[in-house]
Amino acid sequence: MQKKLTLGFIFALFVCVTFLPIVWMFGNSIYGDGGFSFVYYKDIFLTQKYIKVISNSLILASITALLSSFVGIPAGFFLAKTNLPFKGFFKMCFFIPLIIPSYTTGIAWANLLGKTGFLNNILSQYMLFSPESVSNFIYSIYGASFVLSINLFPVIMLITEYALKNLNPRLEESGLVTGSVFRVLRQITLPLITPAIISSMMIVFVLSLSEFGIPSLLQVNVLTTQIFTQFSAFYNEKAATAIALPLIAITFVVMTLEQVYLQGKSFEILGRRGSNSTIKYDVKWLSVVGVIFCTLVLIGCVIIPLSTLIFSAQTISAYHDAILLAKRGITNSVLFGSIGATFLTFMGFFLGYLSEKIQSRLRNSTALFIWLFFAVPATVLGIGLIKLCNRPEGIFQFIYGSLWIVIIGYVARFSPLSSRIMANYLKQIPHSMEEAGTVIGASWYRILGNILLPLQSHGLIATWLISFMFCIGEMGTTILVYPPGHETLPITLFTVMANSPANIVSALSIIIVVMTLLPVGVFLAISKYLIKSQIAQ
Amino acid sequence: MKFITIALTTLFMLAKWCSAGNEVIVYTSEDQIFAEPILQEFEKKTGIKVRAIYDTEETKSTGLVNRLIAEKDNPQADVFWSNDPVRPVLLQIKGLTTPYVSSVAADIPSIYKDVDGHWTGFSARARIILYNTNLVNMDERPLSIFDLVKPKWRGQVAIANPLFGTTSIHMAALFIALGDEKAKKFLNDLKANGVKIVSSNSEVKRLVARGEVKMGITDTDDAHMAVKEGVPAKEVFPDQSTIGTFIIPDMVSLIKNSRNQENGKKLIDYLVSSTVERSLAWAPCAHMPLRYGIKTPPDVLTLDAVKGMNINYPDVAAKLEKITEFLKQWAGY
Amino acid sequence: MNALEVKHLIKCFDGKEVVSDISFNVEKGQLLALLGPSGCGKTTTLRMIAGLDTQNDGEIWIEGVLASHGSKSLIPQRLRHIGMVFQDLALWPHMTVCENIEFGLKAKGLAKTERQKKIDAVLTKVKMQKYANEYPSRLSGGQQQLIAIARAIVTEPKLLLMDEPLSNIDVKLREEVRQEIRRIQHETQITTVYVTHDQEDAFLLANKVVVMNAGKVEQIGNTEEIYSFPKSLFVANFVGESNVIEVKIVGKDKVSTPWGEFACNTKGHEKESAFLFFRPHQARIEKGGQFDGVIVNRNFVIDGYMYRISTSGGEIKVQDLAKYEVGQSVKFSIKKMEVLFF
Repeated sequence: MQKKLTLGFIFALFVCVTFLPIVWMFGNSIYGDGGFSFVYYKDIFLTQKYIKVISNSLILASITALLSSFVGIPAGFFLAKTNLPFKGFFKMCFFIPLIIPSYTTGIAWANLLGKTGFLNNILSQYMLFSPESVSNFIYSIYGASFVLSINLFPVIMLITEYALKNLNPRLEESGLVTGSVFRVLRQITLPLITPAIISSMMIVFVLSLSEFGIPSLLQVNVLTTQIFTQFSAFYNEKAATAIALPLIAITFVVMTLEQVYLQGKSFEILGRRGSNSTIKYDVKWLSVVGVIFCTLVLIGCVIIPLSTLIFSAQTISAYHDAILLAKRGITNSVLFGSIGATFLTFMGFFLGYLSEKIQSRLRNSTALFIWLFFAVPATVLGIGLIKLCNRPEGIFQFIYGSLWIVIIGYVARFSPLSSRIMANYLKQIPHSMEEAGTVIGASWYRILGNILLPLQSHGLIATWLISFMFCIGEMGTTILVYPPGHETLPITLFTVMANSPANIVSALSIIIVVMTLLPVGVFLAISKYLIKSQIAQ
Repeated sequence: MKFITIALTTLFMLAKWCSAGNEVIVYTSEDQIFAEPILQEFEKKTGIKVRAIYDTEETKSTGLVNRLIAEKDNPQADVFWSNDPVRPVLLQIKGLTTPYVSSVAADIPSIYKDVDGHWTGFSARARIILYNTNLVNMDERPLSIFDLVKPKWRGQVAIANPLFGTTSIHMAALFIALGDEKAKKFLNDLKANGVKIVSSNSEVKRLVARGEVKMGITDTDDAHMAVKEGVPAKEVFPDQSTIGTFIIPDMVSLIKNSRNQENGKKLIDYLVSSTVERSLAWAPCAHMPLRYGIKTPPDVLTLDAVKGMNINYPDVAAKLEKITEFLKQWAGY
Repeated sequence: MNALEVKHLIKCFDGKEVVSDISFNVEKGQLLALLGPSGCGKTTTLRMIAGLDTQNDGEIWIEGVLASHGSKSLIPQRLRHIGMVFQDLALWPHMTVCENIEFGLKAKGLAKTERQKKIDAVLTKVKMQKYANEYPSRLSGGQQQLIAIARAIVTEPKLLLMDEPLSNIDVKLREEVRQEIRRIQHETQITTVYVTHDQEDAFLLANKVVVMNAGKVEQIGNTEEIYSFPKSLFVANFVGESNVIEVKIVGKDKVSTPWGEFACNTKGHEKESAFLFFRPHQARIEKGGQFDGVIVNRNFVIDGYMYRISTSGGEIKVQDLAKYEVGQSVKFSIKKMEVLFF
């Protein structure tokens, strides 16, 4: 009973927070002037106009998913499976691309590859590319995919690493007895983690589908920029919402394909671990290749954007000015981010439980349902939240006028993500762990508090950290709903960006990176200590 | 359970109750670094707490106007301070503003004010050509936007996406000044000449500053910031001998049915005062005062020294709505 | 009164019946074994008794009270008083032995001193006192097993359910743990249902055995009945090594077999198809044997050798003390046999 009530409550909460605003927007888009009309949808499905845009969106998302797995899978492999030197350092650094505002990465690479850029000069001098063609590359769908993959590859890296670490070592051992490292890799390890890779690629696919900043900066015409145009040039929220429909359709198709693919695939990869060990390929050349690879990735994805920022911040006084500007943003971001991440972890746990642990035919559709609206742009959600929450009644006024509207925005945007991460961890505990408590006759809350949550401490921490990073970076929804005085760091950055000296803007970006990594580091340290003292060994 | 209650209570304590006291809420699309000092000054003078929401550059987020429209049924903002002259007209059309004629603005030329007081203009920017002095000589610099279609500058001109912000307004003004046929031809020629359409005015500035293009059309504030940053670039007020340069005044409107109408009016009175016009002229954004006789820094022209386009702003707003579809196609969207 | 009574239990997964119309009962203090091959529905049956799954139809009575009827659960989990030992034990890795055991007591709302007393008692019973503060991962397989049992019985349940508890333990330890289970069950007199696919477990522990196959009960009886008088072809083949040969009764106490006709007690039947049933040790290889055959395979077993002999009636299994070579032609005779009708 407790279980049903709690899960039902959380699910209802999820529907209210994520679904209602968007459904409201869609309802609004077909209802007007006292009648229903599909005029905005006719355009999308009955004219040629949007075919190019939709295919652009698909191309952008597919190439990004592919490119980021080319980087993310090997990076995850080297981190999990080789004796890579400076492993911790690399891992920490590879978080940074996720944190740097994608816009900043975009500018950094646009500068480097632009006609007068440093890399452009090198490429055109030594590689026979014309400066035009290089600069055209970055201002194209491929350039946009390139920059997006730099930002998103950590997602694939993290999931790959996690899957590899949880591989049952016996499966690989049996291969290693007979075959070479390479063969084992190709024939055993890779196929075993394929489901995890597919699932991470799907996340990246949907994330890049909904990305607006980079396509807009590099002038790529995709669905999100179209939606933006409808909002900002035509002030037509109905048409804008209508264009979000293909995004939902694409997400639905991709999710369904993934489920069809995964159907009947054994989940041995995420199954119970035979022991606590992970097989490491202790081969020297592999470590060498790993170091080279990781260093290259580090340069391309971290050092280049970061050093452009550091370089253009120039003086210490720029940081001083930036901190003065961002003072409120810093406290707000850390506070809202922490609360948001806590709620997201909480929601993620129960939603993940729903989509993973419930024995019901509805289970698969639950996962699909949770993800359905993930690609809907933040703007549509933001406007939806305004319409839903901005009411004169007391409680609404309280929510809309306080930090809670920002938190609701975070939860609405990222609970699919947090539930997915949590679901992956939940897969790991056998059902019997919970059932053993049920049979004894313990209440579900007792089981939850004493068994499920403690067993999931690693998963909860990981979910919290990733949620925190996404929350701190969130801007599309927040900027539409935040009450005066509640601005977060990215909002400070973007409102200040217009006409502020470039060095202060850069310094501000650096502050964002530091302010995200700092709490993450502190949290990680505390939780490591807590877990160690809890499981004494 | 006890724990949860305590946790929730603490969290709710964190939420400040926001609607109390003597305050005014202003949404402004004027850049934060310029607007904030002005608003602080107002706070100091009147003791009214100003709570502001600033906008990003038009193309970086779906900004404030959409928020204002969405909040229509329960308006949060009392005052909208726009950095362009068209969006207030748009809000007026959508029925979001309420008339307020400020007596302080009496000496502002009437073309910058709505007769009924739905919007009042002050401090202005202008659309100018910014060129890179390392790549373009003083004597070959373009003096008219029509020079930009010359083969000489093929692929060397940048312009921001004409669907958004001041660029879109500029285009609408051109359509009025030239007539539809001529304006369309000009835009098509520009495109045929390989104009680079970039995301925003500051992108134009960035590309000119880095020498990736030789020149671009942008706003005076971007040009002034570029010069301040030591970039080898200079501005030209185009078409001084013909149609004139397009002038973009800031405008301020009172929002209908908002909670602090009286404070809102006080803020409007302050914003349209000559004090603010003066401050904005001396600020790095270098806004040109609409009033004559306000002392400005040497590099900030006053409106008597510039020939402005003779344009009625509500017409621009109406025109913009008509040509947006064309602009969308022109920009390749 | 029966401690547990199961009536006409039916369970479907995805429209497929995995448990169809199962009924049995257990008397108080007894141990009942559910024996059957994997996938026969025995674990599902156990889970329904535990209340972890709900049946589609049928009734479950615990100590004379209707616990569930159809898909309706009438006694909530916490009032069923059931202890369960899972196949993977499901010891909580983040709790010490003591905490693992204490969990159920806490859930029942017992006071601290009472809890401690019960934990001490149960640890003494399973002889694991000195491991109270260890984490389960530090214990051996057998020790973990005992802790899992301790956790299940500390609340003094009306019913103890065990799901293949010995399947993950190596053979040597198995015997020991099995003895422990027997001792503990005897001492505590807790009514127990024990699911296993291993007939040895069933025969050594159970007062009563229910043989299941493909979701159905094949036979219910004590170990001797099951072993000596199988009621179905499945039981005959599944329980112990056996030879089952199709024969025809051709007259009073006369059967026709692939090896020819001979006399045999046909239990009064005169004309019918039947099966000839004998265990490998009920046949003997000897010089003057009745039938011919060729040895095709020889395995060493604890007492003697197990031979597979190819005959005109197919391969049969014979156990013998003497050693013969593979390929050797031999004669054998059947010392004791049974004619069964299925």
